[in-house]
Amino acid sequence: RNKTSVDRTVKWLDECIARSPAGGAVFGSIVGGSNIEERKRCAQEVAVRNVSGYWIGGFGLGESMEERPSLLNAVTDNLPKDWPRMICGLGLPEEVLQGVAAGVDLFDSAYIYHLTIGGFALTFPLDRMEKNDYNYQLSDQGSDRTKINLRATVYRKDATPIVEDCCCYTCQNHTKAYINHLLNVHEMLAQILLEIHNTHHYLGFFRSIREAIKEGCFEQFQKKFVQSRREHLAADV
Amino acid sequence: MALRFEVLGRFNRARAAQLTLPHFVCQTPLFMPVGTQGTIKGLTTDQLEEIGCQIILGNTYHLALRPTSELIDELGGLHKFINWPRALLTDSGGFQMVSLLHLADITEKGVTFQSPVDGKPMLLTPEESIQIQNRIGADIIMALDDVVRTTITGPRIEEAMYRTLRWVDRCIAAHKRPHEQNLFGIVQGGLDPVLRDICVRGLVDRNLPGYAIGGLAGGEDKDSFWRVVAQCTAALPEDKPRYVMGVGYPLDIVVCSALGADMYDCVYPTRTARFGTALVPEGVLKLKHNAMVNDTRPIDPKCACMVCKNYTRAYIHCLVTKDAMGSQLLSYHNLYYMLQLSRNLHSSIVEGRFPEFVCDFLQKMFPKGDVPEWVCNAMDVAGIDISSCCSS
Repeated sequence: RNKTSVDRTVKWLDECIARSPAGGAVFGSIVGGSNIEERKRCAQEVAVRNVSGYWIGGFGLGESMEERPSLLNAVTDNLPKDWPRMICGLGLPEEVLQGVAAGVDLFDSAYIYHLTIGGFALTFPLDRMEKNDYNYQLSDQGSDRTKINLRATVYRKDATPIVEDCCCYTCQNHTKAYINHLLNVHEMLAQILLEIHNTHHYLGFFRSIREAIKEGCFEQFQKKFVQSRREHLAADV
Repeated sequence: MALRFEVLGRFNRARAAQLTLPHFVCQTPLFMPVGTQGTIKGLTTDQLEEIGCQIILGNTYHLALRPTSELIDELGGLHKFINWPRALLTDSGGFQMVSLLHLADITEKGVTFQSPVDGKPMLLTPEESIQIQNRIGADIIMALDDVVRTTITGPRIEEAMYRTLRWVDRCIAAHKRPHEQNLFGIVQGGLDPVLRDICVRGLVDRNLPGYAIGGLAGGEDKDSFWRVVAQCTAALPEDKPRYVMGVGYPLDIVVCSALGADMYDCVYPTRTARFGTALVPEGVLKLKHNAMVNDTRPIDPKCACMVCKNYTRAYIHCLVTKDAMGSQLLSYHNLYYMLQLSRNLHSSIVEGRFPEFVCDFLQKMFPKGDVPEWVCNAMDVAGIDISSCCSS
């Protein structure tokens, strides 16, 4: 089935290229499921076509954290370095880091949307992990210290912003107590404020990634980030 | 008394004034958007400042249920809770009596509601209403009134009017912050001029900082509506603000301003936005209409708001009812329209061109000259010559 999918995808790509207007940017799709060989083959086929970039599909659909890096590498190792690689379906920060490690440049997912709809706000620290002790806000509601759920009653009277030194509109102007109230009374403004903060925070995460890469310490950054989240999960148990 | 009201200009009965409140210096006539539960649906306080909003309404009944007035008080008052630096007005919770009547029981003591949140009985007395409003901390608070629909007739109206006067005394006695919050009394009396007169005099005797004309905007015919407003504005003191509650449509606001009213509130602009309707000088524009699909013009080419500067009718058509952003954009535009109308009323009176403004407004809305009779009658009483806009 994977083989058929790859054959078809490559065939369709040729048809798209033939039909696309001059000067249009076409991204080639790389599929192949969980089969390393098919992933490799697809990447190699698409790599020789005349495309402006690569769209890597089929991830975030059930493959495990453990098997993902090799699948990703099977693709990116076979793609030219000069064109952008985009991936859909990797949203969690750890997943994003896996993608970055494998050489992906652009990420698209509904992660932020789902957080907002659920009443969650991202709170994981964005500073560069150099210090060993982290200034986590103590929230003992079983949260995983990466995000908080503003619906929780513990925030009813919390007059502090979601993240203390965040410079997004929401944190500069509003409190957790207000957002908690808005969520309780089903007001639109709750989602607006959460979306603003979550987008800002997530984009800040990407900025940290870029900085780490520029300073040549991405591997360290990834390791520390993943480790710190695991530690806190373990501590909460 | 915690306000100053200074008339800056007049045209016959219409007046433009400066209303100085603890949190903001306002210009009247003015429209107040309704933020029932501590938010104007979908707009940030930043955006409200941007469009020139001066006062927002919060509702005592809803806020007392969630998040409770005690919590608001503990967190420093409603201004701080929602981060709104300008003025706030809270309703008494009385209107809910009319709109939720099947859940309410009115006695001399107060109003018993069945809480829609948990079904528990809730008693709202004049004292309780004022205490809640004291905790919320708005610049203007409303006395609890016994409000009856104008479509009802009979002795109930008289009973309600006298009770309103008795309740206003209890409100005055219960009010703990008269130097920070202004308690307005509400004129009731249905459509009966005799009752209205008694009520006005009773309230004026109590020497309150401001007065509201209540019990209207509930389905009465327009002819009766304007006559009650005209009677009340003629009898209320010159040097205090007059607030017509629940009004309303742009046309109604222009007429009431001509008759001498200063303040208005209504859910209409934001509610109609959520149904895809935009307010324009010609009346309304229904964005859901198929005709909008390819229309690349802004809602109103002459409107200077952010929405009209950045979005087309076609785009808003796509969003409307499918995405929250549709209602946000329309709410933003509609409120801008209402606030711009307020600014135009104020400046046209101050600059001595109020009749011209009214005629221009009517001409745009009724290009065929078919101005409704009630408007013509009202303008007659207001002393404004609109013959140039009427075809008859």
